[in-house]
Amino acid sequence: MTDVSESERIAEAVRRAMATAEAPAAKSPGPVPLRELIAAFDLIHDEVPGLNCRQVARWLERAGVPPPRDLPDDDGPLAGYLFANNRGAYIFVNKDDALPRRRFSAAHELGHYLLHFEPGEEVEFVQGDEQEMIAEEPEEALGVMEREANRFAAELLMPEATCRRLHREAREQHAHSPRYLEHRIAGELLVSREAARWRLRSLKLI
Amino acid sequence: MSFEFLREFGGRRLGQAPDQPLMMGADGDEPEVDDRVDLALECPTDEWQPIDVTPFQPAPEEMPTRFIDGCYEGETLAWLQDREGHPIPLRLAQIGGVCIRSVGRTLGRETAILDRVVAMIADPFPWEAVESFATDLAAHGIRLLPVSPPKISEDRRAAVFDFQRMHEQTRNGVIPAMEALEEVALCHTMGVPTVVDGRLGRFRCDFDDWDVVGVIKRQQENYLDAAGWRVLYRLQPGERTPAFEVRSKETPVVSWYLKLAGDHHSLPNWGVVRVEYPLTRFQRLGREFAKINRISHALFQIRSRRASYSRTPVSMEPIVRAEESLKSLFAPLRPLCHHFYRVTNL
Repeated sequence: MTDVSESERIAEAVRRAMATAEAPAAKSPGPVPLRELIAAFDLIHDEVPGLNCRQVARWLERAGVPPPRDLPDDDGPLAGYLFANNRGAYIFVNKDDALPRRRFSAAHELGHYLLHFEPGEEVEFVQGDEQEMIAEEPEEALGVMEREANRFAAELLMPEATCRRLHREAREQHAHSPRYLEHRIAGELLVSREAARWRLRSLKLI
Repeated sequence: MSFEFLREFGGRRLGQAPDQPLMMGADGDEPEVDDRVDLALECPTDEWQPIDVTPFQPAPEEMPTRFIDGCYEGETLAWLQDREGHPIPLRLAQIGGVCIRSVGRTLGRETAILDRVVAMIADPFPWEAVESFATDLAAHGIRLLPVSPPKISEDRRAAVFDFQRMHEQTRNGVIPAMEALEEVALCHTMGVPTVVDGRLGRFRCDFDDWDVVGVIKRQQENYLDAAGWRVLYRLQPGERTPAFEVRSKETPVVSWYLKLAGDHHSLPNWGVVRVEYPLTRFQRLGREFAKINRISHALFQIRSRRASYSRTPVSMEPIVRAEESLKSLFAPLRPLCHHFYRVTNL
């Protein structure tokens, strides 16, 4: 279950992201410019093949960045990883994942950054997300932070206004099929069909 | 500069090449993997005989009046390479779904829905680059359709160096988008007897209260045993095989083969189509096999008789008309390709 304050916090974080990046309004065609949103917060992003903690440590070492203090020497597969402190923040996604999935993972980590990272001296925020934690469909069994980051990613990548516009256009063409809408949203917004289906359901459009 | 993506990844034009016939579906695009067949649905297989359907006249309300088809015209107009050098074709496609409806003796278009896309296997590229490309295309009213790479093992997909395979995957990857448009046409009006060109399992529709029949022209699965094949090769025009059950994840169906055309000098499988009818609907109506005969007779009555059409022996005339109707709405492809070259500066 999510409460109103959680919904408001997520909506506010999405607004903040869009405003900071001066992203175009949702009525613009094409996908949400996630690249610009990540860049607007000076986050460094990279796609790493076979992402795991060990790969993250190697990447940071190569870049001359001191790794997190308690980064485990672990090769368990990850979908996304966020490392943030006062000196910078890094988002990694698994390069082996499908493209819509990678975007969703990156948006999920951006969500962690905006919702859960509180900068401060000596503060280190580390979030390694396994595949099942970054859920493009609702997963109630997840902890609050993961659920919030997933909702943030969904609301950021599939803006309500865009979903409603595409739904309205489909109705005007007498295209009532949920499958058509899923395809349309997945294609136009570069998300997976599963993610599109969940978003449409959550907005009660299908 | 816009379309930086194409420059960064070595985009270049492709000359016109004749298109090969379409394969069915891209690798792993929602295949019906769990097909199980019960050939003894209507009678034990050792009792199978051809069934003459011509004496079974369908009631007027049983005659199909809606006919659904999908069309896809495309051209692979450019290619690029990912960082590892894999060839990535870019394909411009026009897709659509149409419903033709018969009113009296007239066929008219009930609805048609069209889309234009540029299809590309997108996974090998950084998502940021693809996002930028999709945005640039959208600014010119073109939609990017990301297509999955081919399967390279049971659980893994990736780009390969075989251009032909990448090309086929891209070409076939457009089909699910076309099928979504066919579904729009199909569901535009529900409850009216309808004939669909192709399998029913492609659609996520509730067929329980609705007579929808799928007619499959090209046979890609082997549902029959040896006795079944022997009966199929004995069919005369207007005859069908006994019905069998095909259980699938999406839409379990009752199916049978129906011969629409052919004579003693034709190939043995000439003019044979496979017909599908939703199993749930069949059961709800009390498993009445005479209904299958009436459906078959209705299909036999509306078979195409055109001498000029290459697929006439396995075609329904209204479906041929549906295809013509939809294609007439497509823009000529070459000017669209030139528009793409112009806006992308390729």
